[in-house]
Amino acid sequence: MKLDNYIVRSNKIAWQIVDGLAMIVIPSEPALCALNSTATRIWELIGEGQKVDYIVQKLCAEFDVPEQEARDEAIGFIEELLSKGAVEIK
Amino acid sequence: MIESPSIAGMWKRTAELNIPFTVMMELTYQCNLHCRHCYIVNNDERQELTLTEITRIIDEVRDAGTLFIVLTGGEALIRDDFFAIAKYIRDKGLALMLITNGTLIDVVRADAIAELNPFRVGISLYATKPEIHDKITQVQGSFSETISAIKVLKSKKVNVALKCTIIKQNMGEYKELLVLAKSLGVGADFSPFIVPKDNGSKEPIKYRLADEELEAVISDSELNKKSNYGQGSRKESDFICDAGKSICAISPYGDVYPCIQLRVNAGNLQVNSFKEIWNNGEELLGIRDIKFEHLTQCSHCILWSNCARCPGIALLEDGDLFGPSSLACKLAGMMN
Repeated sequence: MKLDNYIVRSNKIAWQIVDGLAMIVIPSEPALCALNSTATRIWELIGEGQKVDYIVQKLCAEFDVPEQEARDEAIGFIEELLSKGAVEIK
Repeated sequence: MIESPSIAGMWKRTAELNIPFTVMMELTYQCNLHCRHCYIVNNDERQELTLTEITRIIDEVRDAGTLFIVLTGGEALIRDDFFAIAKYIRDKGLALMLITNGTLIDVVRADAIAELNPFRVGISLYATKPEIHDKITQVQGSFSETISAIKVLKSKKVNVALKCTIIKQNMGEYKELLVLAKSLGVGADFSPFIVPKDNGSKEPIKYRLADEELEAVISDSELNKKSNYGQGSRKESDFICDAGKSICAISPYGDVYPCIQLRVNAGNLQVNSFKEIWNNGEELLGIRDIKFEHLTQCSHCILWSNCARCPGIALLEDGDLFGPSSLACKLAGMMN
């Protein structure tokens, strides 16, 4: 995963926001998963079709966390989504 | 960051917030089979929703918080615009479930279904023997077409589950159906709950299992692993179902119901928007207000914690939304 990768949602997934948290239907399983608040924000940012670095910078600003922590969180989560087929590198 | 919530917990939250998380859309009441126990009543005089109306409704339920749309019928695939509807649902990022008899699914249509990435396709199958299945559907050759559809969908990695209604005519088949499901690598849902027709006709009830057969089915541990009846202690809050809260149903004519089983018409989508009906429909507001203590007989019944009363069946079969369901009473007594 590189910081200048563009990440987009897979067209195979289904999702909805419930009470502020994202619920995602993972196509490969299939299973319904819930995201916590940080992951939901990353999910929303992925929906903007931006680079990983953009997502990291947004997390730093909005959650007031150090850049390294934001980067680890974002990349770890996006890689998990990639492994499940929920997002793709554009 | 990704958590797997309990399905019950997730449902509870959507019901608390009155989010129509699952919408069952009956696309048509037309069907190419004539299953003896079917509850559907077709009305040729009413106009079915058009594709334009359906896509507008899909947009509206998406905005209201829906994640799952279940396409059913009648036989949903009879509609020429079925795939346009299904594709629109997926393009909107909604999860698609389909309930079908499978007879109209050939290789080309199976490919098209696989491309939609449906969450699940439920296929009605009543027996492992063609003569029994075809006698129930009253269409010669339907077994062969349905089995073929199951196999071709499975070969394309579609998540398939058998929908097995158990009636007098196939009571001796359900164990073999379970074996068949395992051999095909598909799931199976069994239900012995035959209900009156939507117009109140009790014609289908004559196919319902006799008491001793019903007891044998609901106490079969192999089936109980796969069903949710007779599971023992429930809370008072669980006794009231999620109809009209996190679930709703839409008829081919645009009528909105709290659930596919609870036929209390809350409004029509050819007249009003989904939001108007969902938020302001008097019938829906009334159903959401029903509390355990309002069920005067059931709330004092010693069997209630083991009872799977469905308000829709209580209304259809026994005529009272707030009263006991004779079927549920019988089952609770058996499970006690």
